[in-house]
Amino acid sequence: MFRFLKTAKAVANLAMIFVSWKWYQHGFGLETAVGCLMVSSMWLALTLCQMRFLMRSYVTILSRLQLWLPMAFGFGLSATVMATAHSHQVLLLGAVSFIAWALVAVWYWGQASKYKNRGVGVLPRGIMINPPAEMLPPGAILLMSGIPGAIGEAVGHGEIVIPDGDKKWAFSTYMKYGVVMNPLEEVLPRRAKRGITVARVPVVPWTEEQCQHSLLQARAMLRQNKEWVVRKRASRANMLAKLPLPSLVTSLIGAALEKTVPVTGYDWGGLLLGRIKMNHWTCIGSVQELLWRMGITLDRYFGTGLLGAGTSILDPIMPARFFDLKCYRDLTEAEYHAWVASGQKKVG
Amino acid sequence: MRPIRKLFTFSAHVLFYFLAFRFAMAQLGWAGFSVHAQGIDSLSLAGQCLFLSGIFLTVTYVLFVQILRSYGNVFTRLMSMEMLLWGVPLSVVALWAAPNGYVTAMSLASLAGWLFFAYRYQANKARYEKRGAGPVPVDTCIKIPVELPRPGDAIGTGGLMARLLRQGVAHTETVIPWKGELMLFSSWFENGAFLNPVPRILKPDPKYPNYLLQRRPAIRQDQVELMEYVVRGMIAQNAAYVERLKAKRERLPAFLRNWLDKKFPVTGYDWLGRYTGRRAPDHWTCNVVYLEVMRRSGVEVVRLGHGAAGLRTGWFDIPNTEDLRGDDALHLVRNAEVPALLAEGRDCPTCMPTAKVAPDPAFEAAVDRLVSYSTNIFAHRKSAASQERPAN
Repeated sequence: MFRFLKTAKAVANLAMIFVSWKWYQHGFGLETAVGCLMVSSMWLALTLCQMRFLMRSYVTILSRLQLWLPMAFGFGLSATVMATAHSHQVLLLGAVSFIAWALVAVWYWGQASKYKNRGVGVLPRGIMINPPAEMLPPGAILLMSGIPGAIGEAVGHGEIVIPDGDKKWAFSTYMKYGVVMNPLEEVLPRRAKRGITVARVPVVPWTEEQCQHSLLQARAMLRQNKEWVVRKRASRANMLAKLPLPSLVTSLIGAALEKTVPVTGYDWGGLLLGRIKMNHWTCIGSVQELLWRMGITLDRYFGTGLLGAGTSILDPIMPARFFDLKCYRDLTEAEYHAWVASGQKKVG
Repeated sequence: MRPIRKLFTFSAHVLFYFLAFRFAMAQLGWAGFSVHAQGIDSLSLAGQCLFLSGIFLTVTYVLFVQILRSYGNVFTRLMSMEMLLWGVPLSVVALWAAPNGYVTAMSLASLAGWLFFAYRYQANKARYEKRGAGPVPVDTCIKIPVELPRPGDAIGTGGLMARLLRQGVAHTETVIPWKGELMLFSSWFENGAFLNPVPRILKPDPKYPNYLLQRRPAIRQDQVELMEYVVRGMIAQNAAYVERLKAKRERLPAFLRNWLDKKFPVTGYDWLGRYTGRRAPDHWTCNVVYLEVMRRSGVEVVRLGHGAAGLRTGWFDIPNTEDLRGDDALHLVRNAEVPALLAEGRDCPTCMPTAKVAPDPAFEAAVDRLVSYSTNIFAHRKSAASQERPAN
């Protein structure tokens, strides 16, 4: 259903952009006010249809843009209708359109107040920033400051908490090291120094069976990833050795490849495409794959590709999109205070 | 490679039928098709026929080995027939209508190409024998001893789907470890994700032949251990899906609910996947169960169900049991091998003609070093001796 809605939404948006452009070019033989009214109404209908969907993923810049741009366009068109209307009926309809857009804006700001600016992006209000390791339950997804700072998202890296008896691991994929499992109590302070970390915890806590499964699964993925690295490094070396070029040139090519797309176990292609491969992943791709392999059904899966067609093309999995998941909830400051009050926090 | 092959085949078919339609319309003199005859449209009848034949001839010879190797798959047989049925008449028409010697020579070459393919295709049939509803390779062990399967193997079985598809086998069972013994795991129309004792499926029955695709080298012990968790997770996931879908159907109008329950009963089987080849997270077809168990157990397996044109859409690309034979690590067990396999305690290193070479100690050591380094990279970074990332 998510893929179907994504496809419908994408096709509708593209169709509206096309219609708006054609109207701008040719006018469809309508007078300016009527044309503006028609286009504004169509955008209004589309925005209303996808508003709930977009507000759910408000944390991502793309969703916010999909609200801001039609609103700005709609207000502009409605104002044009009122300024150029030749009849009272059109003027009235223009005013109605303007008021409708104003209501959308009011509703939008009402919803947006549930979020607050954090760093370069926004985060849900009341979410716990940099939670302590002891508070995080098995399966908690950690969303951290990362790469997409430049594109206006507060989080850009993802890890998942894997229990191991009394210990907890943070499982993810790093650009430099491929799949890694690090002690959670070491990851969090380091990340806190560099930015922020927020956590989303499973609505249904993991069972003992799932905890054991997650550790085995994480270790299996780690090993699978390293096997791929060793094979890939060997095949790259073989390929370079076979090139009918002077050794200096092949070593330069090798160095350039190592510099741009080093074989670390990170999925450089997936970073842009959003695909999920069998043995190398992006950070959040490895988290989604681990949950998939464990048999934990998510209410939506990311990286379905452009238009939701499953092509895994041009649909990078943004960690911020994990805020959409209904089977996970935010770990809040209120919970932290309750946890401290309950005396579970270690002293010192 | 597989998606590229699919993209190539799909694109060639689209191009062929588009041009065939265009040429046919132009030949029939339909308005809009013959007014401005330029480029490819300006070809004579013989040229057009040769061009069309050439498209399919290219597909045939690019995929020559693949077509012969996957003869057991009904879709491959259909595609071969389709191309032959177009290619031969088109070459004959080109020969008949050839305006000059060059075109005659090319038509003869095209016809020879098709006849050679038809000969090889027919000769290839001798490597197969009819078992149950369709062909399986000669000497395939179709009465598998129950002692033979081991975790990670796939068992292809005959039955309803095989009859429908005119294949020897068309249902897949996955061999898994379960509470200290071996079981077969699959997805059935009637039950969804379903476990079966091995002897129940492997009972000898001439109407329903089985064959064993043995994984070589065998999967590791840690993967075997993980597999049991994976299967338990999948069964629970499938049960939750059934419950959720039943609750959803309860909310539908009675007539629609009854119709859906009759056509697509909520059993946990992926009815849509049966036709599309998609991979849903919590309900599967029998073949997808095998692929999923392997993927989730960290065993690399052939990727199927790429979708039409290999674009990963998961549409109109049904994973077929026969397609599993495209996995280099899955070896079809022949009758001649069975005594040796049984004698050598389910492991026969001497009869692994298609198996991947087992990892060498240097490979294992390199992997172990990387695994060790990536488990707590901070500790390694702290130590002066491990400042640099390990190489192979």
